[in-house]
Amino acid sequence: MAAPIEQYPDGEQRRRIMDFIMAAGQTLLENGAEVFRVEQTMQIMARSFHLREFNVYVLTNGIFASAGTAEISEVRNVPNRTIHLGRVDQVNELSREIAAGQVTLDEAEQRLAEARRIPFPRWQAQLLAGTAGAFAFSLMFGGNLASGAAAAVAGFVVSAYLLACQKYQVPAVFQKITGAALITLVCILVCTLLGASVNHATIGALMILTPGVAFTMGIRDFVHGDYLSGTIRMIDAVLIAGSLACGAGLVLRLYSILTGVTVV
Amino acid sequence: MTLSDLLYLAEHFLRACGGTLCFGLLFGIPRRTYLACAVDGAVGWAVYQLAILLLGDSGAVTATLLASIPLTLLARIFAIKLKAPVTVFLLCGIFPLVPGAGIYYTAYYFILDDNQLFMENGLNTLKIAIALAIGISLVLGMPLPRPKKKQP
Repeated sequence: MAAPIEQYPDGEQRRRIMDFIMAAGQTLLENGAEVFRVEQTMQIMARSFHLREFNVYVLTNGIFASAGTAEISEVRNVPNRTIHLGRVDQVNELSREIAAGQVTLDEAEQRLAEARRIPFPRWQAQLLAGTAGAFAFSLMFGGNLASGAAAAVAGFVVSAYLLACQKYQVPAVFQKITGAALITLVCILVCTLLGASVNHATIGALMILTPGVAFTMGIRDFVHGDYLSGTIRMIDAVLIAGSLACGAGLVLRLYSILTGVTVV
Repeated sequence: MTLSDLLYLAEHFLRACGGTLCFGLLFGIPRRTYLACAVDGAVGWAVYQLAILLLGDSGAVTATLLASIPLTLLARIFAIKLKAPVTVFLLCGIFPLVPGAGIYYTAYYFILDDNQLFMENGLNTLKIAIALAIGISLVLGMPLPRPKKKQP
């Protein structure tokens, strides 16, 4: 049986609870949870830990919160967003247990630290997933086996490239432009060898880079009335799509200038 | 609905299973949700293909709306059964339907200065996005009966 949660936490305790809640919110936001879920989870945690007068406002890239009559207030900037739904799931699980009153603050802090440390899949798995995913999507969009194979090669190359980019912390826009150019180049080369349609292969492999997630989240934010967050995500999606088009367009243009053959 | 149609749908179901699972893996979904995510994405894509078969190629928007409804419903059911946030299933499952290619083509024709194709693709992408939004919000807003059982 866990120790009961303090009904009236003192000043020191309140600050600790606040820090914990902010960290939990940041973890959710960083790893791809929706804005309203972050708000909701933070409020549930505050209520369960008896942190009174807790108000929170979450944007796609920041958290603002205060507790007490503005006795404590904190701001977190969350510029880097990746997608790791396993961590979101863990924090969600933790918040459910906190709401049920089964977890003390000490345990909760430890569990949160563990959730934040859940690793990404190994690089071999990421390479395999990129390859197989590009293959499957190229088939889904109407490609035949040959263009699927080309997409798989491109998917493998671009997954490896993205892994390398993450290691050296290359800026996102540059990553997308060069990644798209790489995909198009590989697809043109392999498709010319195999005699397959370049279009299906390219779009299958490009699915790895397309802003599908940003787009879906943007829609969901809009539907929930988080218009500012939705706008941020949508602009994100448009920027990514623009970068992809730049990269792919560049290679296609160069190819048609060099060989006189127009693809797509 | 002929046998070859059914085979075609089954084939797409399997392809979408693979595709969704791969992207789910890249998003780091928890291990216990692998199968559910794959099924979710595959159901959405199969319904989409079925609707395209029935409506023809011009019905992409309607097909997206029709597909997003069972997909989101399934995501909610999985979320309750497996005790995971809806996002885990929704984000992966919706991936085949999201007009990622549409956004890309829109930007591509914008850069190529082909205004007609740019408008065409852009409008189509927008319509599909709205259809997705309506489908998702319809089902997510729908109240589901929740078993109120206290666990010991």
